[in-house]
This record gives sequence, structure tokens and C-alpha cells, in this order.
Amino acid sequence: MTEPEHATSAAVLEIDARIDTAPYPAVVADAAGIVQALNRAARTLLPDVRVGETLTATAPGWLAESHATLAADPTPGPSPGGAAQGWVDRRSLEGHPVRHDDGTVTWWLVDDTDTRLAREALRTEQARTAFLTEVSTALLGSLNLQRCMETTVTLATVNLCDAAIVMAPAGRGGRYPTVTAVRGGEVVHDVLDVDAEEVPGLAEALQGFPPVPSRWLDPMSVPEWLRPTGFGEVGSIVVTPLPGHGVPAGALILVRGAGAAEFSEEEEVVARLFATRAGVAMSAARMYDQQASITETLMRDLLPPTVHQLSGVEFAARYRAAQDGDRIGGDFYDVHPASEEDEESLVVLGDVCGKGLDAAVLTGKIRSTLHALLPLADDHLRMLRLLNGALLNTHDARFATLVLASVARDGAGVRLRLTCGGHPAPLVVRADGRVEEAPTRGTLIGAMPDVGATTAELTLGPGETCLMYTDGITEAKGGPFGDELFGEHRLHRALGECAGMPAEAVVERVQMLASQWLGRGAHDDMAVLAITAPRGQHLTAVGGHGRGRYTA
Amino acid sequence: MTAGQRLTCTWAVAGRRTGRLTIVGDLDYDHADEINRVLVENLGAHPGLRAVHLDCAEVAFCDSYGLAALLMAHRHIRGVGARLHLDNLQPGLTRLLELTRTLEYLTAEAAPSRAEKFDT
Repeated sequence: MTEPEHATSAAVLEIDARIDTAPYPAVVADAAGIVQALNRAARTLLPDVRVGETLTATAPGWLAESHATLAADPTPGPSPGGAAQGWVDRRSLEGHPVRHDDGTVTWWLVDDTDTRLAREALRTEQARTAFLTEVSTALLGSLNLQRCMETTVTLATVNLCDAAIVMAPAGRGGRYPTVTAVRGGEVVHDVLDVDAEEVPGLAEALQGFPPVPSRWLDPMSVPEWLRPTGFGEVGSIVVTPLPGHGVPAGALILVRGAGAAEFSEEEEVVARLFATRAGVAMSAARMYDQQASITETLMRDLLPPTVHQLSGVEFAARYRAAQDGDRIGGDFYDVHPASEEDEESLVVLGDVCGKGLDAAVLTGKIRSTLHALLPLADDHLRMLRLLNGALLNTHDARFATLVLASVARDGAGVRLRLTCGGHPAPLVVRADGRVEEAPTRGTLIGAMPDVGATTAELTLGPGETCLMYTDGITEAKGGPFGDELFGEHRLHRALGECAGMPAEAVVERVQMLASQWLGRGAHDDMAVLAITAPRGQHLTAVGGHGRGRYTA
Repeated sequence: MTAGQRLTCTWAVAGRRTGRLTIVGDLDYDHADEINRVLVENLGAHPGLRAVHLDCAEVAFCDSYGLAALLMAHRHIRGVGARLHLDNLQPGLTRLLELTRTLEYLTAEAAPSRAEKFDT
């Protein structure tokens, strides 16, 4: 041994005597990485490390590397740089270096396994919370069911698994609409005609029963139809119900490849929390979907028909529903054409009290009842009485107001019989611009046991118009100060300017004026219908409906 | 109409037989239900009423839903054996009640029978 080495060893031995019984492992190595000493705790922890051997050959890699870095760093000082960190078996250690004057370094090794595990758990938990928050935000942003399902599988493949499948409850024909995503791949929609019983727990999950833990599921039992196209061997699988509002929204199936770790218990909990959020979003979307399709269906049936020329009489109508929210309003109109050329057509325009579905249902009832009563249209009062009887109920005071108009071509003019049931009387625009109120009055329909009404009979000369409207027009609130009603006076004046105009132009103008009056204010339903006797020139005009030919 | 004024209904009793509901505001889709809420509560609390007056002096606006509320109020008041009186009707409301032929019905002495129907 040379002199310096001997001196070093002596110094080390001296330190060793004092640190040998210290509770923390300590390893002393010189600048070349040769171990000079180690205490009792270090000998237990690192049985391979011996005095005289190099750290590189015997100590864990992270410690040897940290030591080499430290030795190469000329900066003097007792503890340059930070601590090193690494694993020995299943323990996490922090190495705190202390540099001595002779170039040796003592590494104090502190066990921080518990702290580290706690920190990692915290980080995982934070990441999960962030994930679940992201899930909620992403899912609740859409009320579109398809998009909700897509978002669910995509988020699942990014954060939870290699492939995810959402199976909706069986739809028409007992088939299951599914959406599948493989990490990094496209989202695939499909409708599967399969037996859910083939996957353990799937049939139960689809009915909303609690999930089966993944370790109970044999990945080998996964049927071919569940394996996404291009997906390799299945390693583990979790089937979780998607709980909805009282009814299950379907099932979520998470799949990991054969190489990936199995689902841990905590991951299954996260999967369940994820499924809860996805399920709620999906059932909200499904409910919205159903509602929208109900509205759609009702709309198709309740929406006023487009009207044209019939039997030599011009008809035109406009309808503007109250709000987009409840698109079906309480206003309605119908034109029932006469079966024979010179018989009367029946026009109905009315307003059901209230808005939304309740109003729509009553509207539907009124329209079909009146349709059935068409053969009795020559007696308006009788028709109204029968309708009133059909609508009376005891649980609320919903009612309707309406106008019946029987219309027939009469020479160059048009003969009208008008009867109001609690409705604003139709207005007649004469050729010279005079505006008259049709002299008809009657009881509203559906609220009182008895109804009465007077029928007005009048004739429209060529170019003259009878306008039926709902109170949405006259009660349009707006104007320069935003709180004034459009009112009958303004309607009269506007109509006075419509003398001689065709039916289309009249309804267009009235609707436009009322809309302008409203500005951006909220409004009720607005319906207008014009019946016009065509001006005499269109002798051979065919109104697009075959039997529209007439002579003046 | 969604921009209506708030509706306030104030109940008072004059003697043991007469109730008075003062209505201030708009009788419209958004607010009209209030009158029946207040009515039902007070009709239950004061049995034996013979007459209920609805003071409409300050009813600024009444749409079809408001009218439905009045018809419902009529039903409630009749239900306890009292008669409905509409006080201080303003022209707009009077016009609506006449247009729909509900004025006589609402304020009739007894429930209108078939014989009393206002046929024409």
C-alpha cells in the first residue's frame, strides 16, 4: 500500500468507529469510486458492497452514477448538489452525500419509501380527480347521445385502458348499439346482434346490477364480437354498468391488452366513478333525445299545413312559435278542403291556453275532434258545442279559443260563414281599404259547461281579404319603449294598407310588422291566416292544386 | 309574454262571510298561477265564506292563461259554496271577458244550468 492510501484508510477507520452503529446506512467511497468503508446498517442493506470494491461493480447503478458525477464536480463544499434517489429491492432510498477534505464522500442513505408512496398515491389521486373533472366537463358539454358515447370511449382509452366499448341497452330487435375505440384509433359505431350473456357480468351490467370485479373475468372467455378489430390478445377486462336516471344507460367495457398490467382495485373504483359520470351524461342525452324526437313527432303532426289556393279561393297562413325551447305552441290552424267543387271548405284557426306539451296535446285533440265533426260544418254552433263537450275536464281550466270559417266560391266573390268561440273576431279588408270586424262572438271552448256563439255571414268581393289571427299578434309587446302592445288599432291600420293585395302578401306583411314591433322581445305564438277572393283577371289560373280553376 | 310584471295577491277578510283578493300585476303565463295558490290557501283557512271579491283595479294585463287562472279561481270559489265577484274591472280585462263570453259565467249567482245558457 502506498502512503496516501494508508492515510486515507486510517481516516476512514476513525470515522467508521463512530458511524458503525448509526441507524442510517452510510457508505464511504473515494474520488475513484472505491469503497473505503461502510457501517453496519449499510452492510445489511447492500450485502454486495465491500471495502476495496468499486461502487460501479457492487452498488446500485443510481448510487454509483451519482457518486461519479459528484466526484467529477470540482466545486468544494460539504454537500454539493442535491440528494440522489433510487431503489434497493422494494425500498426507496435517498442518498445524501457529504464530501470530505480528502476527496472521499460519505453517502448517507435515508429510507423514504413511505413518503414516496404517499406522494405517488397523492399524485395518482390528483391525476384521477383531474381526469374525472375532465370527464364531467367533456360529457356534460353535449346533449347528443352519439357524441356522449364517443367521448366516453375516447376518454377511457386515453386514461384507463387500451380499448373501450360502450354498449347501449338493447334497442329495436334486441340489438345493442355499441361504440368502440382502441387507443389512438378511430371511434367505431356498430349495432350488435349478440347474446350479452356470453360475457360474464355484461347482461347484469346492462340491467344496472353492480359490476363483477375484473379478476373474476377470464379474458379467454371474451367472445370474438367484443374484441375490437385489430386488437390483439385481451389481458384483462372490466365490465361496469352505466347508471342512468333510474334506468341503466348501458354498460362500459374496458379492455387491456395481454402486455398491460391488470386492473387494480383502485383502478376499478375509478372506472366505476367514470362510468357513473358517463352514465348520467348519456341518460341525460338520451332523455333529451327522446324529448326532442317526441317534439319532432308532435311537430310533424301539429305543424300547420301549408295552404294555397283551393276551389278558387286564395289561402295563406304564417305561424311563428313562441320560443325555441318549447317549439310546439298553442296556436293552430287547419284548412279542410271541400270534397266537391262548390261546397264549403272549413278553415279553423285557434289558440290553446298555455304552452309546451300540455298545450300541444290539447291542440291535437281539438284538431282531430274538429276533423271528425267536419260533416256537421254547416252548423258551427253545434260543432262548437260538441267540441266543448269533448274537451271539458275537471282537473284544470285549460281552454281554447278559435274561429271557424266556412268558405265557398260564389261567383266572382267568396261567401264566408264565420263563428268565433271566444276568439278575436276576424277582420275583413274591403277593396277600398276599410277594415271591418266580422260581427261574430262566442264562448271560449273547453272550460264551461255551455257555449253560445253567433255566426256572421258575409261576402268578399274580388281582392278583398278576411284575416284570422291569434292574440300573439295583438299582444306582441315591443315598440319604441319595449313595453307597448301591438294592439288592434295598429293591426287595423296595417290591414288598411293591404287592400287589394293577394293573401300571401297580407299575411307576410302582418307577420313582418308584428315581428318588427317585437324587436328582440319575447313573444307568444303568432298565427295569421288570410282568405282572399282573387281579383278577377286570373280566369284560368290553376292554383297548383288541380281544382283551383274558376271563372270570374 | 315572458316579460310581465310580478304579480302580488293580497288576501283580506271583511266580516265572516266575505273575502277579498287584491290582484296587482300581470295575469299571464308566468304569474297567473299565483292567484289560485293564494286562494286555495285562504279558502281553506276561512270556511263559511259566502262571497269572494277579486279586486282587479291593478291588473295591468291578462292573457289567455290569465283567463284560465280566473276560470280556475271561479271553480275553487264555487267549490266552497261562495260567489265570485270581479271588482274594478279595467277596460282591457272587461273586453277579454266579453270577447270570450266568460263575464256572466264567472260572476253568476249560481252555477249556470242548461236553462240559463246564453244561447243565441
